[in-house]
Amino acid sequence: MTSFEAAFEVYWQKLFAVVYRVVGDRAEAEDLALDVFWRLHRRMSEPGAGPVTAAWLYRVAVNVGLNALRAKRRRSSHEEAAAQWTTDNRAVRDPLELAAQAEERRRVRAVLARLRPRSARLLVLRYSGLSYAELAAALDLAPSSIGSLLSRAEKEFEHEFRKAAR
Amino acid sequence: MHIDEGLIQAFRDQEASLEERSRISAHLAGCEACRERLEKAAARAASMTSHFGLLDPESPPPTPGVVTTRLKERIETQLEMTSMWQTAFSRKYRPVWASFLAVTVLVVIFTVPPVRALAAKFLYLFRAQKIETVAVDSDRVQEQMKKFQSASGIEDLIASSVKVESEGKAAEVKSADEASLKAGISVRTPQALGDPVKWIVEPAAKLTMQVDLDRIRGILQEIGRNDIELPETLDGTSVTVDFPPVVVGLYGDCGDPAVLTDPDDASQRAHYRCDVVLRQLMSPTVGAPEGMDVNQVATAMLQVIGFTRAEAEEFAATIDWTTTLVVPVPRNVASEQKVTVDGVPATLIVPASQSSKKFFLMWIKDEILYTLTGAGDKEKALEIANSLK
Repeated sequence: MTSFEAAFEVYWQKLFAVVYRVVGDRAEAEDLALDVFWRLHRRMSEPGAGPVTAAWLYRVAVNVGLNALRAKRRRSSHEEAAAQWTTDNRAVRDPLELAAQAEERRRVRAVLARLRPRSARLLVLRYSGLSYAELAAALDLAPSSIGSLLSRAEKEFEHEFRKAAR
Repeated sequence: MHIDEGLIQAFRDQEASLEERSRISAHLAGCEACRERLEKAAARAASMTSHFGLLDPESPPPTPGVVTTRLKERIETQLEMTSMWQTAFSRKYRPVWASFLAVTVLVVIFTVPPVRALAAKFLYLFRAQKIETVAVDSDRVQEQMKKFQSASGIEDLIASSVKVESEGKAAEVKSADEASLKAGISVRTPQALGDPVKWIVEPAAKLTMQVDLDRIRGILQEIGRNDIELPETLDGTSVTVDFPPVVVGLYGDCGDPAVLTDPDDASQRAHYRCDVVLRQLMSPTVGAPEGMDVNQVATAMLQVIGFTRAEAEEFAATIDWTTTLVVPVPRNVASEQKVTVDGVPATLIVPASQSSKKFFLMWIKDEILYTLTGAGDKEKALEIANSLK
């Protein structure tokens, strides 16, 4: 990575999207993603700091997002549910379907907040489009273990998701 | 031999190597069970994609250009705040603060009637029981502090008349129990945070300052406070400040863990890189000659940090200085509010800039002083403080 400014240009939108997927609120996602970049700035200004990589940025982004999600859920799950209802939706206009989607979205995030942190991190980053090699680098895992860890994480997610549906 | 789950997953995600792909395809052709597993995995991929697809932003993320200003502002405030706190609380500046306190203490002792000064051999101990803040002008403080620190005599004065005795070095301990034992207080842990990255116990320190009238006069003259009369009788008396051991709990992302227990000043700076830092210590005590007019001490102290005499007197009169720890809050940089945590009143200091989420919360409960520093909003600070067990 060349400079802080270059990193910001290249990764800002990607990291915003990662954080947004987790927290589901634009203002909060922007705030948290900015946080990731000031950490980057702080790190790059440390004497003897090692190189900062995309992997580092993704790791910090997903952690910052999941921490915020868990903290928010501890504080109030009602507020979040209410916020989800007001989130403007895409092409779907049928109010029933809209409600169902909002409910599903809420449940996906609820499950993410409850999953083991390693599983949640893997799923968020994988479904944000990272390759196995990128996942391994970001989460400091052996590349050969990603397949089985991801498989386990998905099963864990499905199990919890069904539980949450009941 | 069936294909393991991880490979099936990788094959599904088109992440298997060329060699693996051909081996798996060959196996699948003759293995019903593995074909079923692959189908299941594919079905799971479809449902996961649909779940997570719902989480995508409904409109494109803001462009970098739109948020650049906020980013810059955040970085700048952060630097200012960090340097302010680091300076105020770092071990390196403790002697400076303490001497600063001691000097101003003495300045005022010298101004009280000689009859009180005769009782100066006895120490009058007071321990902070509550916290008040005072808004100060950051520019004026910095100017005054700079003058004070750059006064030519100050290093000499500190070297010759200020003695700091420290019992050992900062040490890492394994648990809250071990920290309790070492620090002699009952260490508490915030349930909202889980285990800290590290527990560190900083040793107790005692600062003693012998009054050397000539030198103090010289310095006061240099910083423009030569309007104060110094009675000869106090020459040679002493003021002490006791810093009990400090238990430091470091939480969250702290960067490189190796520097956290670095014995020199770098470790202190490193602490403030953590997401959350919780410090616990017995309230420090100050010992000064008995009969000292504490109100006047305080008035002088406020003047040294930039108050006019009238402002200082007005503020000093509202505080019970024998039981109150007064924390200067630079306006423009930070703002302060009263909150209740842990069942007692507390002081929350946050950066003035809305875009920088950082908190500094302090309170005293059962003679223990707690300070909680971290990244996050007010709610987070309160949640952590209220979860102390």
